[in-house]
Amino acid sequence: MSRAFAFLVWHSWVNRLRQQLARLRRPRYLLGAVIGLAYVWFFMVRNGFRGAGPSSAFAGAGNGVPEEVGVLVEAGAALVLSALVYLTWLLPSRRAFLEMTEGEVAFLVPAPIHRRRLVQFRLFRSQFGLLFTALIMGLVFGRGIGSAPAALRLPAWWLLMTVLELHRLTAAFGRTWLMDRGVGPWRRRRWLLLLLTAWVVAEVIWVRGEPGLGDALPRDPAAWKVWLGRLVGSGPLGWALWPGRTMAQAFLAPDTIGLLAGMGALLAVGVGLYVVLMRLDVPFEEATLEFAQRRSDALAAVRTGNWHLANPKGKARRPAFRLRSVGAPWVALWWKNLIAVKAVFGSRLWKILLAVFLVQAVILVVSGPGKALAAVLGVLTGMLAPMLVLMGPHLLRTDLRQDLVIADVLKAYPLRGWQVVLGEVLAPWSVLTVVQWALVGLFALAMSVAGPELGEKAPLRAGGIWAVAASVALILPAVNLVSLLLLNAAALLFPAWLRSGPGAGPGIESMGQGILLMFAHLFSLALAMLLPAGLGLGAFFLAQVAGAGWPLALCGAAAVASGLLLAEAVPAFHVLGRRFDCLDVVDERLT
Amino acid sequence: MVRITDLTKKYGDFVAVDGLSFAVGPGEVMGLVGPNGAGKTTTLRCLSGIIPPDAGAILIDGHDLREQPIAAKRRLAYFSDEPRLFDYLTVRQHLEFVARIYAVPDAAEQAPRLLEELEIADKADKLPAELSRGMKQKLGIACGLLHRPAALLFDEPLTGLDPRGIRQMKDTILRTARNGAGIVVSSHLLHLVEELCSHLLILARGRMVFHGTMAQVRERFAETAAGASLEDVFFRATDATGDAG
Repeated sequence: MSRAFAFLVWHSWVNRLRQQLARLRRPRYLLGAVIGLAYVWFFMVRNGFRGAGPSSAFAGAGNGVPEEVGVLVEAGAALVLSALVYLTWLLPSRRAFLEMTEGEVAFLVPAPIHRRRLVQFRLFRSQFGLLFTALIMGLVFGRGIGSAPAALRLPAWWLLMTVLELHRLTAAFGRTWLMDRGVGPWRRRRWLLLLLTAWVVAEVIWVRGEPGLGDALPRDPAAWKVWLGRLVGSGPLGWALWPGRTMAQAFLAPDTIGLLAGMGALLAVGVGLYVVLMRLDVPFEEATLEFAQRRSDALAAVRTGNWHLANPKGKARRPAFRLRSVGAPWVALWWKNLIAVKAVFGSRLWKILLAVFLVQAVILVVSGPGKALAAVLGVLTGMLAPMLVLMGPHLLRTDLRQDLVIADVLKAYPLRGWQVVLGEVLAPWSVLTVVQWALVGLFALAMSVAGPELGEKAPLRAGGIWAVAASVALILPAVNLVSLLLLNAAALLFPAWLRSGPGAGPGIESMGQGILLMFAHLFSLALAMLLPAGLGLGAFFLAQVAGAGWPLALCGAAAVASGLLLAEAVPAFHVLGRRFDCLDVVDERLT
Repeated sequence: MVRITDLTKKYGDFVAVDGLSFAVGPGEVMGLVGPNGAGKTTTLRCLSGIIPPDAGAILIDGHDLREQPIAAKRRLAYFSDEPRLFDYLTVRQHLEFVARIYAVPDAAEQAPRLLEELEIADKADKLPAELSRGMKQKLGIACGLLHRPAALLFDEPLTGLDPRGIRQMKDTILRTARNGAGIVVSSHLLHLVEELCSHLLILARGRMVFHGTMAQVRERFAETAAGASLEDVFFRATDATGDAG
């Protein structure tokens, strides 16, 4: 049986690799692979194997990193990893399942194979993924931590990943074992919370009884380090953090000996978990089948470029406005996509955003002038708006990038191509613009309130701040429109670049394609903005020469630049519309 | 209602549809049959404006699909074998959306009536993910009938339907034809074609092998076998071109 599993895993892997290599015959995949490899080499491998640098070994002295920071990082890592372990027992309520494909479920679950063998198969098959993750983690976090050689760090990461996987499975099987004996999720949670409370009480009592621990926090760094070390390393908290501390050794050990010791401890934990897992004979077939179907649907969504459909939220959403049955037909597409935006991101996100904006505005209004808090809020909000200009169009994909898979449906509607493009682009554009306007408004409010904090020489005072905000608010809709049009143009002109196509899996070439697309988008956007920016600048200087103050000149320049960008967008709609009209759905799917 | 002349569609060197001409009048139901790869779906997609033909003219209710695509598509409804719905729109929202796209002024009265007729009124606020295959098919039909099309194109309309759904689908097709629409039904189910269609078009390798009324079909093939079923006719017609199976 083991030979059959090995045959399946090995040949699946080899065939997948062959398929990916065969794809490289197509220029777009080859280019993607070259760019992906270059990225991995320059940003991961080169740094990862450079060896221990001057900032290595958190716990060592004279390495550039204060020892207190090292202790804090170790304590933090132990805390996070321990929390991960305990939450795995506390939170999930589903039955145990094995992550298998639909094909594996169809062939292996009905086959005369013991459940234990299926678990072993799953563990065996997961090793490829775990090795890859360990390699990436070793390369990304290799430099800067510990003086152990890279060759040893990689197996340590692999051991850590394997133990985490074993624990995840053991916990899932353990929870299901309890469920089958009448201990449901809430009962299990009550017990665990009771245990946690008892542990906290024990810790408090222990700290009070320990000389030096229960007193005020030491201010001296050396004493502080000792205090923290005692707190997290001994007593009830020390025992509770033991799992996390053991795992953290795999990547935070200061030297080779420490790393080997950590690996030894992990190995012992892993063997223990494996023995328990093999003894837990719980039914997982039904949940496994359900998972396989869900994953198959999600993969289909991702492969068509609709990553957001991978986890569909099955809830009807109210439309943003009432759609009358007569009027401009493209409004229907806008209406439809606004519903999709709500569904993809969930209504809760928009409510939280609105609440945050309102709370900020109230804080700013009541806090009064000259407050440092207002300046901080202003700077943070002001930073978010430009970030959204770059990232927003990539996040909000409820346009042709989402609907290209149903291009045949759209083409059957009695609409001109430009109407389809306009209707499709409007939803992400309007949502993005409204959020950005709110951010810009908050920025202006915060900076006005913080006025005196900015100093006497600050140019952005009084009306100036609002002039900047008005100028940004004027130019943002046009920039968003052009940016979204460029991404939709990419979807229409190079559909295969946005969709990896049937049978295609993730790979270095897909990553390279993504990087290339992002840079091509930024470059095209910069190119589209070149002329409007130049003419806007010219308008600014002309207005100043004509005697207008800088706030007025700035608003005028923004209006000129915005107008020119919109003028660029109009022919773009027609060009893309013609492209949509000529789109041969069948041919495009074959590319 | 539907008239096509010399329709040709190529994919590279492969000719999917080769100089096809036919007409479907008001109240007529034409069955489009042929072996796999004969060009049935390509013909329907060209007719519905989804893919552009390489040559030929398509008239929908008198409107040239190439010259007046908007007017032609307003008079048309295309039903693909797999209902293509929007994941995030409810049943009711689908109809509101289609009403605006096709500018249906009385949609507010029409939509509930259609939902009642198709027995999905109780699912009005459900998303497609919550509907069965048959319900989705019914929603697709409701969307297609809302704007009272003059020409209806069905691609394998019975795929995935239960017996009740099959009965309702047949009734819908026949009722719509009686109301004066011209209908094209593409299917591999020859008994369905025999039961529903007044006319038949047999395609093989993108070319028309036979076109005429059902009576003409029997008359033509009765010369070789008296009392031949449509299945016999189909195999004789396609075997003659070496395309069967």
